Amino acid sequence: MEPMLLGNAFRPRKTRPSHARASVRAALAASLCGSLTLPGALAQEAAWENANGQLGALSRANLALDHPAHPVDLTGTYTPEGFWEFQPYPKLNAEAQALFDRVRKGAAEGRTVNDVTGDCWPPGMPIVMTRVWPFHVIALETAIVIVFNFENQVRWIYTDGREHSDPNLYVPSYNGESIGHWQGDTLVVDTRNFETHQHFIDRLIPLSEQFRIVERISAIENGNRLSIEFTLTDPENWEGDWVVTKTFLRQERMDFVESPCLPNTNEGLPAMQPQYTERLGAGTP
Amino acid sequence: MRRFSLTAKVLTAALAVSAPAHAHHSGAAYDGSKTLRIEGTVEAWRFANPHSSLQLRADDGAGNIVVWSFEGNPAGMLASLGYRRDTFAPSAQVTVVYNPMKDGRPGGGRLVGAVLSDGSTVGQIPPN
Repeated sequence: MEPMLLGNAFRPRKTRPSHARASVRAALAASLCGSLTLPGALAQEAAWENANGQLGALSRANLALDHPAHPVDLTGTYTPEGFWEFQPYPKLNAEAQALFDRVRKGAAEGRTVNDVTGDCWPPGMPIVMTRVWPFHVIALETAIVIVFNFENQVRWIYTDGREHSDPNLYVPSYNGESIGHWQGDTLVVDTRNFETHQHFIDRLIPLSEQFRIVERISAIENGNRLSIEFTLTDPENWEGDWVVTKTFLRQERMDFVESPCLPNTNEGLPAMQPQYTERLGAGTP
Repeated sequence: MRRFSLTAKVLTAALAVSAPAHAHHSGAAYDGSKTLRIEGTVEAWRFANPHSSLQLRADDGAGNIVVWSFEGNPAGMLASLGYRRDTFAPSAQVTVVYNPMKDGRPGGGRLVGAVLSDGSTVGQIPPN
């Protein structure tokens, strides 16, 4: 097989104009990366820029702007407290209730039904916040970054004054697009634009594109705990506001290493054998 | 393997991790209300996230030596309970303490703790 590295024929010559050099760089990078090709003189690296022109949360220009300082520094490491599920549940619609009942019946019989996270689908919001594992909160003026040990997930809460993206432009994500602003000492976070495929709350409540989360996040007990009031709405799947408050304990001696969900992660585990695991399969949300 | 003493701190950690054992996936198939013991020979030990696992050659209850499989908590939690990467050496004789399957089938369960060949213990060993 021919080596993938390119020979002289693809190296830019010094005499070429700058746009041509950019084009060649893009072609070279695309060749090395795989099949991605870009038209015209647009350099591949430039194509990753925010399509709406928004300054990146970590751009020096954005960080240099006069953003309001956070009244509370939430930076720290936290672990969720209490049970991870979002009980009590709201009044579900018929379809969501049927799925709920099926999962509960399976659990009572010693079978796991619809454990999509166990099968390596991202837990997504809001479950990623409560699934037992620790997370780091890194607060900057332009964004609060949450790094989860669980499945190496990352969540960004933008606090640089931007608005939600055009849903037609935003790539739907399991953690959604979070925009935060401060009301006194409470950070209010509005999260939308979710990926809904294989995304459930507590394994048994499906989500639609109307799903939205508003969180009211505050440091309590001198910052030793976080309190988050979650208001979950999705008129396609349940009635009204589903409001649950969770607390998180600050940790002082806790770093963590990666926790990837790999193709062989569940290999040979008793609970993941076919007799104990019921997958709902095609046709489910 | 250094001897592991069950301090108050570790006991607290043990109690804290006992509820959410399904940290990565559901533990519905395990019967958390029962704790059993089985002796056997270590086949393999994987000290890893998002969960650890132990394979053990042991009697299936019908006189056949088979490989049992036990699921452990994430390595990030197990370290504070005394487990290490070298806790279960291949071919070592150990007693595994585990939650069995709810349907009573032999062959596996959830790892609760273990008594190692030198008599030291790791994990959550309930009193006999």
